[in-house]
Amino acid sequence: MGASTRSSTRAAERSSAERGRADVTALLGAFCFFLSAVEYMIPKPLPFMRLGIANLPILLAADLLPLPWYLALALVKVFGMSVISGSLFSYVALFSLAGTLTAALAMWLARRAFGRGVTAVGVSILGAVASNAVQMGLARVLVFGEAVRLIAPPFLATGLVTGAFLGVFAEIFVERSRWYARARSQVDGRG
Amino acid sequence: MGGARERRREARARRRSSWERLFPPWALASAGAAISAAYLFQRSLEVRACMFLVFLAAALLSGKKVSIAATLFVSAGIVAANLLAPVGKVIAAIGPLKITQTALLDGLGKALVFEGLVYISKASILPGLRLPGRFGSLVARAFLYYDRIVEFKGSLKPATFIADADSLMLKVWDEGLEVEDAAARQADAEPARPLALALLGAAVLASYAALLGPILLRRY
Amino acid sequence: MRLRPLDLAIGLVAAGVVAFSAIAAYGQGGGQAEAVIRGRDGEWVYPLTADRELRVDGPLGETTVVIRDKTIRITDSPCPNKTCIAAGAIGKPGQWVACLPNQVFVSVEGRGAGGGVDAIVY
Repeated sequence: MGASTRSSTRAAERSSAERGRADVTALLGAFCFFLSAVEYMIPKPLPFMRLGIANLPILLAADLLPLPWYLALALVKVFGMSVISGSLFSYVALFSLAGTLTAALAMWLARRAFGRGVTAVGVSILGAVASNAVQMGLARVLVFGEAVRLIAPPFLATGLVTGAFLGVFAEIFVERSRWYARARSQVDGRG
Repeated sequence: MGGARERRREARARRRSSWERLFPPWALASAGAAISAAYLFQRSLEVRACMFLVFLAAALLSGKKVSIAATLFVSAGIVAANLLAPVGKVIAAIGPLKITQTALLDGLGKALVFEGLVYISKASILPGLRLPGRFGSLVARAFLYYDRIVEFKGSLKPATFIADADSLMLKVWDEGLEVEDAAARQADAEPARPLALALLGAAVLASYAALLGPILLRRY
Repeated sequence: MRLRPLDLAIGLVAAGVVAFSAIAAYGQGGGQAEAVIRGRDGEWVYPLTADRELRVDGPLGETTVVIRDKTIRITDSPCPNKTCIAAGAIGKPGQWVACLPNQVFVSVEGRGAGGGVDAIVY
């Protein structure tokens, strides 16, 4: 094989890996939409309580996707949900953006900082509580003023509890999922 | 009775398809974004209230689902939360709580902004909206996968949830995506109707005129 | 599936954050003292946290009240003795300063601390 054929093979592999990552990102994004719809159907005592189930695919991606695709996934989730619900220019979308990006960054940092010393449970709790805290801060400035202190405790507590449950689910899922194994090899470029 | 609701839904669907045929998604979204910005910068409570009503009318015309009850509920919550921290002249008292003028106006303003943006978004975001570029095609791909998930979701059973979800993911994924660029091509193919663009341009100009108007009037 | 010690640590820290926010919100220590100004034309309430300058109308004219550094004081008043200005700044619930000739009464009231007055007679 000549040099040009070798480099074009490498280029083909790289672009196939890129396509694989785009595919994984898009599929996880689609599950974010699906889980958002599920969360919408679950009756909640207060309309502002958000369970954050839709962040589960992002939690799974923290170990799976390289950073640019990981962030792209978060943006796909926010943008896609805003278009589906027709809320792109409203504060609702802004809260979604702030919450999702905070969760994504917190989970990514937790994974990088603690490595194998922490399971998806800890990562998920950090993401959920950080996300809810940021949303509370945003609510204080934009919507509720000082009174936001009154709803902050139950909101943060919800983050802790759902974060823990999501983390447990994610751990079990990763252990058993055949899809996850296939996605991992796609992302790493082994097709 | 079911009849009335069905008729309302059909009327809404008709309005919706007229709206979607009239405006190209990108133009509508851009106009919506510009108007939202003008709305955010608007200081006057009265002008804001007028713009809110216009947005509400636009959302109704666009055939999207509008819930006045939800708006009132959320607005009441926002106003109540703002009243809890009294500021300004006391205008009433409910038990130990003093209702103050500045806090009330602040709360009303915030509620108007919150709900107004919800309605202008509803009127200006069509489901066919796609961003250009690589991110746009990524989102389009995600939507296509989403359609597939919805198609197959019936096979999820609580007892074997993880295994079912895993099979679902494999099935959705394996089928591949040959249609990925079709959506993008379709979005580009829409010709822009001059009447629609003129309407949108006028709306954007009006919202910015509302910003400058009070300033200019005050000078003279 | 095995939990790691760090997971429990994170959980505990998060629980601590929740508890802290609950205490800050529902506990008695949350001293939201507010300034109450009573004048001829009505009553005004302001938090002490933001600096403000306010003018209150009375029979003799305008009294100027300033909130600064979490305290409130009368800085100017059209009364003959100006004792109200000399009285200085107040910041704790239960304290008060008044310009009686101009019918301006300034007090600091705490939430639930019952610092209000029953009646004012000039």
